[in-house]
Amino acid sequence: MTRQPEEIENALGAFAVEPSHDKETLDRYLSAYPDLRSELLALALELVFDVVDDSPLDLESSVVTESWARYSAPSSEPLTSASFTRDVAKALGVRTAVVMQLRDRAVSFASIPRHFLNSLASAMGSGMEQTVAYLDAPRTLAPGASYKSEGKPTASEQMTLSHVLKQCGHSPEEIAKLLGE
Amino acid sequence: MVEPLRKRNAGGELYRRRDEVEALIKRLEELPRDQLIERMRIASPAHPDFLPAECLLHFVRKSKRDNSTRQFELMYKALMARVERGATVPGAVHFVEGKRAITARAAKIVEAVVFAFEVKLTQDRNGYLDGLDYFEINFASALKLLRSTAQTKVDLEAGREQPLSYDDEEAISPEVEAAAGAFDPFNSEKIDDPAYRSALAAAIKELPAEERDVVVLMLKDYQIDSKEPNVTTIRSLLDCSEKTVRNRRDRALAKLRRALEDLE
Repeated sequence: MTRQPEEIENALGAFAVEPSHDKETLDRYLSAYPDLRSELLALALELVFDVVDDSPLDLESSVVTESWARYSAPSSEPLTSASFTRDVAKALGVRTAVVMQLRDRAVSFASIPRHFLNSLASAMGSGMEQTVAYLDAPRTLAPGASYKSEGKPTASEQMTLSHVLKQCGHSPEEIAKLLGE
Repeated sequence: MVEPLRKRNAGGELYRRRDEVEALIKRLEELPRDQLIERMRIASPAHPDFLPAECLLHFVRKSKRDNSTRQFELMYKALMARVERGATVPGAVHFVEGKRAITARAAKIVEAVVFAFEVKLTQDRNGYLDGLDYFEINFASALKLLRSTAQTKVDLEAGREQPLSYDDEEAISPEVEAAAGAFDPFNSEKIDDPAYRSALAAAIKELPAEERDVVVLMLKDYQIDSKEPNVTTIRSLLDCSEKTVRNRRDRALAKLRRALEDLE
């Protein structure tokens, strides 16, 4: 069974916020999502243990201040399709066709690993916000598409990044490396 | 009225915040901005006015349109400090010359969780990310999902998850059997001791995935096997023989016993 990353995150998120994680609840999720067994069991284990750390928080820790610096990076121009160039592909170590698919929003946002997103943003010299805003926007049809088609055109389904990499001719080893798995 | 969440559960109903969180948000909304921020920035969890993280997230999301101000920065940092704390794997913190430090593995997990959360906030700023609603329902639990995902990824990258190096069906040695014995780490009289719980959690996570799954299912009161065809058992869930389950259990318990011996 292949599920979209959004569906997986949604199912696991729903399990996480259940008021109780007893056998009955776990049973319900294991039968609805048998393919997510290892994820559900790993999460169930996390949810069993609550280790209370009462030491004061550091509101200016390096993790926190670096996060703020990324989040608040001054907004540059919104990203446009022109930013998805051959040089970006080269910097990322992917084929140009992959970058074109990203440009056309053919890749589902949730399937893009965080570190890939980070590398993509820096390869385009763009802020994280602009990159997320561009890739996460609804997929629209190319202007003029309606004149070239007989029927009413619709934007086709998005694919996972892994699928796109495969389709563009990357080997399983390259894909594993690019996706960090 | 506090703006309701938009996420719906599997039955199509809208999720709701916990009553006490909702009531607290309502009261906080009446505070002048500077006082609200002061409350949000209380850094000691032991302080009587320390706010639940769900409230912090609510006000950060609500202020996403005026996010360039110094006030927003203070709110954002207060929230991210909660994310950092929740992303820290239990048992990874130690003190070096009075300074708080965490292991390299834990630091990588924190980095991945903080970044994942940051991306969610960015998506939410550009519209409305209903997946972020989970964090307003139960921040700690939703964050544990991000942490669990990050942990798996970091361990995969580091090659920590090794496949089992033995034959699952093979009879276990008398030493392992003796060590496992009637040992039940969850019924220890120390189960309420934070140090014991933290060590137990860490020891379970060190187990190979196959053994860990058996331990988690035992913890959830699943039977190893059953004659009733409709009962879900560890054997049926893991799709292996009863003997394999018992072997994995005994090996796991022997390891947990050894790991916890120092605390005995």
